[in-house]
Amino acid sequence: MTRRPTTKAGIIAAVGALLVVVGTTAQAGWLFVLSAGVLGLVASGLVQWHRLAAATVTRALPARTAVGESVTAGLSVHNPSHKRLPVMRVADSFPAFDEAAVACESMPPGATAAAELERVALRRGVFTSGDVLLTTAAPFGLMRTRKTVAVASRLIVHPVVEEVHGFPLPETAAVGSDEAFAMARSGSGEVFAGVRDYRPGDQRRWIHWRTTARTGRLAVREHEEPARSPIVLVVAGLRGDDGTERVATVAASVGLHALEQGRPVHCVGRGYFGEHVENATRLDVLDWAAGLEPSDTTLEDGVTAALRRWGRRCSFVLFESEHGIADAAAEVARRRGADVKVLVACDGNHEHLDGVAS
Amino acid sequence: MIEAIKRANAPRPPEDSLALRAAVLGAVVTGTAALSSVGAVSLTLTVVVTMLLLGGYAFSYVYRRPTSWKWVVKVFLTLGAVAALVHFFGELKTLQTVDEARFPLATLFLAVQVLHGFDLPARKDLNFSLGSSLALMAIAGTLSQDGGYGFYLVAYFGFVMGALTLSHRSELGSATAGWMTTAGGRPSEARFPWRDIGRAAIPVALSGALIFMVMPQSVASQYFALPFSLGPGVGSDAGGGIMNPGGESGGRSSGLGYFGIDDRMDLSARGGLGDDLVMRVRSSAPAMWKGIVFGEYDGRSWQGADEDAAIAVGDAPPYQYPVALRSLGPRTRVTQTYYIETEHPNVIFAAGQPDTVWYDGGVTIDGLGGLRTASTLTPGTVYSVVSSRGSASYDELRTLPHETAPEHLAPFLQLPDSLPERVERLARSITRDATTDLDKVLAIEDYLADNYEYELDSPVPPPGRDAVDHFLFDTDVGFCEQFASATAVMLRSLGIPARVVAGYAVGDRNTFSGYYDVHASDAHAWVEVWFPKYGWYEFDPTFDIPAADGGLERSIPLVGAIAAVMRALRDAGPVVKAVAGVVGTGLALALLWFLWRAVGPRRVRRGRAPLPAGAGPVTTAFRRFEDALAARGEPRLPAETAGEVVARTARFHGERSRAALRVFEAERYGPLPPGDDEVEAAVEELDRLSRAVKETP
Repeated sequence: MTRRPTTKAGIIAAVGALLVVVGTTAQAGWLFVLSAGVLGLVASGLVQWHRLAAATVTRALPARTAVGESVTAGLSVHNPSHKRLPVMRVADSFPAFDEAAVACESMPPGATAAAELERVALRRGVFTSGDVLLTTAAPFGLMRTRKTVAVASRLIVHPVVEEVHGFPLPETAAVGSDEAFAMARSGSGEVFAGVRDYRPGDQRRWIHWRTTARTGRLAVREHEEPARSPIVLVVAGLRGDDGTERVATVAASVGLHALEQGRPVHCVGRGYFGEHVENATRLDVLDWAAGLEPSDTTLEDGVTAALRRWGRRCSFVLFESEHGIADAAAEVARRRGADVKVLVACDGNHEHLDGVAS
Repeated sequence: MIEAIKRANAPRPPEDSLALRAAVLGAVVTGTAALSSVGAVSLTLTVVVTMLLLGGYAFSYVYRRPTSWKWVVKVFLTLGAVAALVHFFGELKTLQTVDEARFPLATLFLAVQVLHGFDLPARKDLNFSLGSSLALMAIAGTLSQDGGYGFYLVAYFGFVMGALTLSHRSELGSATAGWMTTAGGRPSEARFPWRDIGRAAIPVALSGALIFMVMPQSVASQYFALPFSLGPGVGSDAGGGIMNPGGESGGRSSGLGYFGIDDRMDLSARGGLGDDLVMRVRSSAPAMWKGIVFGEYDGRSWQGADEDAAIAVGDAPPYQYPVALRSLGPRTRVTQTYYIETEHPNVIFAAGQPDTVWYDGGVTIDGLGGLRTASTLTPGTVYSVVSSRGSASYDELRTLPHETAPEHLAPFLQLPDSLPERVERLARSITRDATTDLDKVLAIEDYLADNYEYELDSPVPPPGRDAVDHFLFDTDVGFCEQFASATAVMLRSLGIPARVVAGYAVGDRNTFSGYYDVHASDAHAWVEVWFPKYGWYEFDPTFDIPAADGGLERSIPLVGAIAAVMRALRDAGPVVKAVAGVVGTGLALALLWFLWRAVGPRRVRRGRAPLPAGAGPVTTAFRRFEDALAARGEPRLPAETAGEVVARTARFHGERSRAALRVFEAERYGPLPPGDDEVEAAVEELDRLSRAVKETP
């Protein structure tokens, strides 16, 4: 906890000192009294020791949001002590947002004050705590006391997702009926998988007339889709803020694009949620991208582990923030016959990644 | 630079708080009233200014938001300010002394307040008004001579505390996204902070009182401008001698005047003196305010100087005391201004030797060195004197050899032929062990103080008896005149030049105004003794003449108060001393507590905060990591988060410690404790990191 005089206090103290000088030269005793009163205003701040440390602060946040989106953040201050807390400024420095501050009235023992703030997520990441700065200069604004409180609250901020429909996902040759990758779809495919109830949008030629006649309800045939090779997203190395953020955005966009294309997605990269996320859902991809952290790791081990999991069937999309970081990992994948694409975001030059967005 | 000026003058959001405006207005009006109470401005002007202030503040509130025609107001205000300045400089031309500039200055400040009152849209403008209201109080403070100013001061600080509190809250509210709501859902800004102001008043009062008590209040003897004026007019013509308006010669008046301040001090006169205020003295140091010097003693009375011997000491103020009559040696300057409350004899009162005199009229010096004016001093008369008082220590005075007095001091060795010889024998008897002139003076002082009783209504010497002989050998009872006369006569009998002087004792010093309130009962007579080379020094068997050099006791009220208590306790009984000891110890402990409150917590803050109670192993290991960093001269900064520390020190650990950081955050802040395996790994990693920090060159 720190306590310092404000600029206003300095000015007032200087005026008080000036009054002493004038009182001395003008032989005016009342000026000493006036000066003592003026200086007393400042000095009283020294003995009014505000126990801000007693205050407890909580922050309420939604679980997830995305960069640029607005969320309602709750902030509350509780006074569990047996002394009154002074009027103060409560500044929340949660790293996902810009700093926001609210004023808090002096609180009697046991009281709680709360505020809700609309805040815009400014940066991607997984944020687990942020400082709240309690500042009081009560009552006159002359002596400022500060206390920083670390307040735990988790927020996952997803990166901005871009449309990458034009991006050609690499595809390793299909391997037939590998159950692990077979997906039942109506229409296409050669292997009969079964029948199901008709849903709007199904084509008339898919109707399985025999079952329809037997049950009296429209039923359609389902055939197994040919197994699609999984996409392994590898963020091999992240250096520099610009490159890191761009890589995270494009990696998430490519991952979601792959999911929309029916491709299983496996995420590899050093981040909050660990190095591997297998069979990632849309939320998993976004969380993984949110948690990506700067790293020098080239992740050959990660590529090897993915190959061990999926065999030669998988295709790799490697992301790097600088040329060459992913070379070793790409080499490992290529040696095993996997299709590899390397996307690079050089510092200040995102041409490779920018070209991905359609 | 230009940008900074633009920023400073950029429009600010309008201030909506009516309470803040009312508090600032209260402070300004209180300052105006204080000026009126000390006579700096007339009552009519005070009423007009107050009405204009009310109108101006109302106007400022109604039109606090920017409007297209505001420039017209600003033009009028600027013209008003120019007119006020022109009036101020015009007034300056008519002043007799720079000291009088306070009066037009007060008018100028009031004009500024009124004009500015019409242009107070923002909080900054109100703060300016609040700050400048201090100038009104300061001018009133320099003019105030009594305790009445204290009431205005209390009211002023009440408004100032209110305004500062409201200004701070306004600033707080405008610099944030709004106010938090309490459980009842009531926005807290709606409350008027009576409680905060009330709670703050006590520490402000205590702090102010403590500061006042320890504040050096050495009223400067240096001067820039000293006031003098005849007030309402010239008094009665003294006709060359001394005219005492206090009563008829031959008897002491029972009212305001002391008849000792006359051409002749009759030791047979008796009477009482009232307690009315006769004058106020603003002085850089306490002193005896000497009015007249007596030379010849005729056995019944002391004679002043010959009326015809008085000569002018200059043509116009300031009047310089003749160099030939000035005492030498170590001297201390005392600057005084006298504010006459009742009509006084036509003498210039002064401490010690009046080196320079500012008096609005002619000043003459009589044959004994006393200063006289042509007419009596009327109430309202103000004059100033810069004096010097001998400040040689007793040790220095003891080193002076006894010398035959020069011829011009012959009047101060004069004794009547009728003086009984036993007076001289007594003097020699008292001083038989004294080897220096000073010791002889002190021996006589002590003898008289120890063996004679002070009584205003002492017996009158019968006709034909020497008054001093009657006092010393018959009555053993007397008052200041008898004591002073006996001292002077005995010293003269020993060949030491001495003289009786009359005037007023110090009076009561108003602790707050600093003025000495001199009452009729302070009229006094005492002795001046001449020392070779060093000149005249004051002595008195009945009164502690203030030392020329008072030290801390005089300049610091707390030291003076303690010294006064110690003096009072010197003769007190054991019970009183014990009670005083307990009270003193309590006060000392309270002061220590006060200082600890002010300074102690700051010391604690300088050190590192201790680990929180129940800190887990990862938190402890993280502290070891911080210690290792601190040992390298790269300590964790107060505002640095744990994550920032880890990121900053990546060169020691690559990326491996991020997992340990997460465990640390989970243990320190998380809702659930981390698993044992995670804790073990994190501690191991942090300790490895600490070693790396220590071992990395």
